Amino acid sequence: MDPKLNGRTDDELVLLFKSGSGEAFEELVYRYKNSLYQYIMTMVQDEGAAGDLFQEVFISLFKHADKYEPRGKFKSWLFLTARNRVLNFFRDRDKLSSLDQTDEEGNAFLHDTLPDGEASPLEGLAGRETEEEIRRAALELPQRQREMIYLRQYLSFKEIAELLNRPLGTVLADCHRAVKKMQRILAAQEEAAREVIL
Amino acid sequence: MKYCEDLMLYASDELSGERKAGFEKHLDGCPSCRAELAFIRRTDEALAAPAAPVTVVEELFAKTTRRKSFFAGWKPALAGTALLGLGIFVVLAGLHPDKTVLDAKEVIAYMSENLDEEYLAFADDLDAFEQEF
Repeated sequence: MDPKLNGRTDDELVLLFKSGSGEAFEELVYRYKNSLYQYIMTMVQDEGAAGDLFQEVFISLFKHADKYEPRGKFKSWLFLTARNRVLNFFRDRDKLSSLDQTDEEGNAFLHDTLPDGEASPLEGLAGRETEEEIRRAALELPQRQREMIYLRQYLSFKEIAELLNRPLGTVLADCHRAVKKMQRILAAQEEAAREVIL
Repeated sequence: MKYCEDLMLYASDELSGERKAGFEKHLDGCPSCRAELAFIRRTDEALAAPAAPVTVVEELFAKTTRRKSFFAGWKPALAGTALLGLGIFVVLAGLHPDKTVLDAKEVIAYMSENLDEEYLAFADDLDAFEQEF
């Protein structure tokens, strides 16, 4: 593969692909394969389906690249396409409601913050949980919050807000709520583990 | 609420200017936000994307950029057949060097020369059959 392709922007690669460069297409795949696969896998929780959906997203690009308008938002376009595929997957399995369900905490949790300077009981967690425990806690989140936590790894909050068609403030609040929820899950797990030891 | 938003933006390196400076000042005096920021950082490390399965990516390339056309597999067979035909022509041309360039009359004459006796006998029988019936 041409090493110079690494330095190209996403839009430049799409244009090169449109003009017949298969290597440009493969560079785009290599660039986003890990994050896109992780996002899809996180959402569908099924390796076979995740692999199929991942391929569908890029095959869609392969077939319809001419419809892509290069405006510097390739990553958003890619994740939006993936999200639509995931939604179709759930529609097919009659699970759409799981994405749209309201979080059980409601808005009250938005204000669940302590006055400045006061230590949170969750601070006891700090640094003790392993990466595996964090990953498991993320998977225990309601799907809407889980999606937010993972999208944060690949996109800016502005990009997430555009992708989900929600106000930036709502996205930030949802994401903060998801972080709090993860902390509570981990604290509960730690408490349960302590009870077993005692 | 403002600090919740700023905390998330700060963790994603999306704060700048006075707002960033203001939040950092708040962070100095707020153990709760510091602990939460540390947790978000650990979450980012834990959720770093692992490599996508190689088989999935290879299958994708096999269906797109490295896809073989329907006739691709027939190329060796077609090339072989063409070479065989050419070989036969060259051999025949070698056997009959004066016949390498033929017009219609020559072809008929050439083919007539090669009609064997059995075929001529069959042709005579056919003429007789047509006359009788």
